[in-house]
Amino acid sequence: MKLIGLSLRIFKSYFLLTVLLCLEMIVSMVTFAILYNSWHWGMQQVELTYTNDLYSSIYYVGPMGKINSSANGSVMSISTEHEKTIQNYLSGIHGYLGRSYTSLLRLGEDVPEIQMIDDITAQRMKLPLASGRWFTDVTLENGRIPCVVVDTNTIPTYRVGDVVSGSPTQYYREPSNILFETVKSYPDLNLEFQVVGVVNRTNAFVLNDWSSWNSGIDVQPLQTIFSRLDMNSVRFLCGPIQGVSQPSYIMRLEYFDPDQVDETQLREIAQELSQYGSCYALPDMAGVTQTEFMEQFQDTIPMAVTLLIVVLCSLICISLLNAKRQLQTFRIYQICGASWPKCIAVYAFYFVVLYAVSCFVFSIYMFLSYCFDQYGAFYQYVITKEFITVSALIFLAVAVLSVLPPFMKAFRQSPLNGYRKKE
Amino acid sequence: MIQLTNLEKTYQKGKPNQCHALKSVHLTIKRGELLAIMGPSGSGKSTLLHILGGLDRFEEGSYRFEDTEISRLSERKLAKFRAAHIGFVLQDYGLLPNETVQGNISTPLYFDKTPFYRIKAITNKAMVELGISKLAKRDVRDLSGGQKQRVAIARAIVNDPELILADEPTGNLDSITSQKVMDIFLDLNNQGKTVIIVTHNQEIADQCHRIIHIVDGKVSADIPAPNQL
Repeated sequence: MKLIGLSLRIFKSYFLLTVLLCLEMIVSMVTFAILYNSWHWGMQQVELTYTNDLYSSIYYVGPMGKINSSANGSVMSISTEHEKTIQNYLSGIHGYLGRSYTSLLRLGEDVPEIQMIDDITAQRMKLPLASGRWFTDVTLENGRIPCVVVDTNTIPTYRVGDVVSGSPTQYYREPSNILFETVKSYPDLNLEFQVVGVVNRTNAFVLNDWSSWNSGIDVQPLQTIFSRLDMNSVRFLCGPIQGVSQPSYIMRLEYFDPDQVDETQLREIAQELSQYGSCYALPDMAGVTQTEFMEQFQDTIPMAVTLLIVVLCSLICISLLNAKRQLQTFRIYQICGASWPKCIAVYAFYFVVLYAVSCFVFSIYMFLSYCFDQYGAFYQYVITKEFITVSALIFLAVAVLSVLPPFMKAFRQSPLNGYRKKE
Repeated sequence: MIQLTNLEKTYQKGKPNQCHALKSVHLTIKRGELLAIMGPSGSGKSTLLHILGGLDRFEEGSYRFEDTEISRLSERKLAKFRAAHIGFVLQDYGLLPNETVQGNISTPLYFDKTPFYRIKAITNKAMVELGISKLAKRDVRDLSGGQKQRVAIARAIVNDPELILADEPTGNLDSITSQKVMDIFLDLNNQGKTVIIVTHNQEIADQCHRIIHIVDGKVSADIPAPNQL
């Protein structure tokens, strides 16, 4: 207790220096966390593809291939004949299960967006729930439509049992007008939705979101399909509702039975459909995602390692610069009754305190980011045993390494030598 | 209280620059004595003081403090001995430059058996005793020489040691301040503390009970101070 008290006094004595050191450590910890999170986020998408039976699918985006000038003057349009051709082609493939689509509804300004997902997607994308249950089908419950709320806020705005109602307005993109959302209102229709489950915010991402398309790259990574909701997006997921189930044909997944359609066939189908739009086999997208994240990871590692080395060098330099001054302090401690190991223990505790303060501030930062940052769920991976263990070991090693040089120097030059030289 | 017998101390023993600092020193110091050690520079005064304070070791001879043979103590026990029995006052004050007066004075209490919660109260008591309570929160770098030496003395007595060792405590002070500092030592001695002062100042030495002269590491004279005659 008293040793910690003395260490805190050193902390106070070198306040500015200590704060700078803490900041360096915190910055490197945050870099380390972001690196770790990026890696996990990428890998989680690949994992999701497997765990949710999405691997044997193709992702189709149309119309991106052929563009016809339309008579009505719209910028881009495509003949619906293509759709018919695609449907006929897919229906003829043995093992074709169907397609996924999403469509957005709004009941009013204060009500969350309602994203309808098709039956197959609903069955496959059963994200882990914080509470409640997934709807087993899309039939009505007590005259209400069962839905799951995807809530990214820390305090859920909606709980299981909550009901929202109103006349829907539907937003979708149709093949004839890819650039603009089509808005369709249903003033005579009154819909009632009942929340039956809440998706854990750490799993709050939505399948097949329109906004995630990146037109600048050849093969889309999985982020195009799994887009993470930001914290301002509270959405309801529900099954397709008769009457307002206008699918967005622009982006969709075409599902196949994995026992009947293998990876090669998937690629052939994707190749075939590419003449009508952009089309990729999920295994290829997973591969691209993996490569992309590996590259990002490899690009970031040198920066993180450099930062870590800078922090280490700073700590060692400062320790060495302080060593002479610290020896003078040790001399005073000695005449005050301290043994030589106790003097060193006080100094070591100073670094432990430095390390502990940095970790504490880092934890607070991560916690606040997790709770209040728009994309806070990104930091979920920090709260894992692996991350805590690895980062604790790395930074403990940094702390120990930074204490060693002055200790080595100090051990060679005991404060008693100072008295002898004086004499 | 203190019994030194045939004490020998050599620096850099066996090397070309070997220095025989103390040669066959015999000395007895009684409890409650006020002793001055005088001698030319490099004569071994400070070495003797450091050995008396358990800061330095010696090669031959014996040093008994009460019933304890100091030469047999390990480094850890020697530190405990310093913490329990010795208070040091140095010429350069030996204060922690980044600390307040209160912080400096309390330092020895972090190394003895004083409970953590009592450190502040005991420190305040020492500051009151030395009349420096108003300086408690001041940075020691902002103090005058006399004030710094008072802080150093307060630190030396804060753990209530039997023996106070002062290494040229008035060396950096003017004559008036030196006398004020000496008055503090006289007060402490009157309270029963044993005080040993290494000094070049004859006026300071004359106020002690006994004066020991050291020349070339040997005790050349051990005489009562003039005021004792």
